[in-house]
Amino acid sequence: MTAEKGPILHLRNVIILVGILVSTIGIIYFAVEFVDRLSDWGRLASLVLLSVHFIALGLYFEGEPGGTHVTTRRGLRWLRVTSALYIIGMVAAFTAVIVFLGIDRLDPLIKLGVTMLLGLALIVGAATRFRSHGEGDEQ
Amino acid sequence: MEPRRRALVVAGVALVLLVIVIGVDIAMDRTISLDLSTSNGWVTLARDPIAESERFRYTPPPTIDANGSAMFRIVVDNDYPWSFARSFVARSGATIVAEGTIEAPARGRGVAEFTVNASAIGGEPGPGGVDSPREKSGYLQIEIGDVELYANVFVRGGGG
Repeated sequence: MTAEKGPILHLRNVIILVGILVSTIGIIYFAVEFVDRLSDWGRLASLVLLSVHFIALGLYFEGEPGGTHVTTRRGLRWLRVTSALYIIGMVAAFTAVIVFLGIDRLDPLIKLGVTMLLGLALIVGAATRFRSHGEGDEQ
Repeated sequence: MEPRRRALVVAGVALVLLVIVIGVDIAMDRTISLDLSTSNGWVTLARDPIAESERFRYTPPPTIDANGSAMFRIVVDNDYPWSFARSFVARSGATIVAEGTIEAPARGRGVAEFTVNASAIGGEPGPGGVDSPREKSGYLQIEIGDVELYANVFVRGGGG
């Protein structure tokens, strides 16, 4: 009988996950060391770019033909490189919104309007995009 | 360009822009200092941010006459490409001794002067004594937006 299940851990994906963890530690170090040295807008731009970077990496790995699972063990198949990247991207995006709302110079109404419009745009945009992607997957 | 490659390019561009944004922002700075007018000119009492080499350096506080007033100034050196404007409040203990607005243009300097009666500066009494001038260690707390500066001065003279 051949071993069809393969290795329990995918070394390549484990190494990628370690890289993600190291990057996360770097982000935490950046937040602790540079939070006072950056301007409000610098912090906001940094967090937005971090979010874009990690979500884009998640999109890149999502199309991996071989899958991005770290382990094939039942119950742990949710542990994927893409999941980690998306979570870090979401945390950075969430923190960016908090930083944006904390900028004193902006009028509160403007902050409220921008935040609500951005949230609605993300909801509608994602719903539209993934619906069209779902139709394309059937081909 | 296939979607996967496009996502990788976006990730790379975002990373490069991140490094540029952080580098440029750190290279720019804004320094806020509190100065006191003395017979020797302006003396800096407090600064934000403070250099590491100055953080633990002790400088004897300047002395002002208890029967007079002291002129202070807040100086903002703004390296950012946008202007700076904040209201400030000067307190000595729970007493507000001065308040106003400080403005600095983009890549420029802003100065706001204010005068405080020495009698309004609170603090701890000094050694005093029969043959020694009465002296107290006064302190000021300046709030400029979310920046706080603390300064000590000696107030000498007054009733005996």
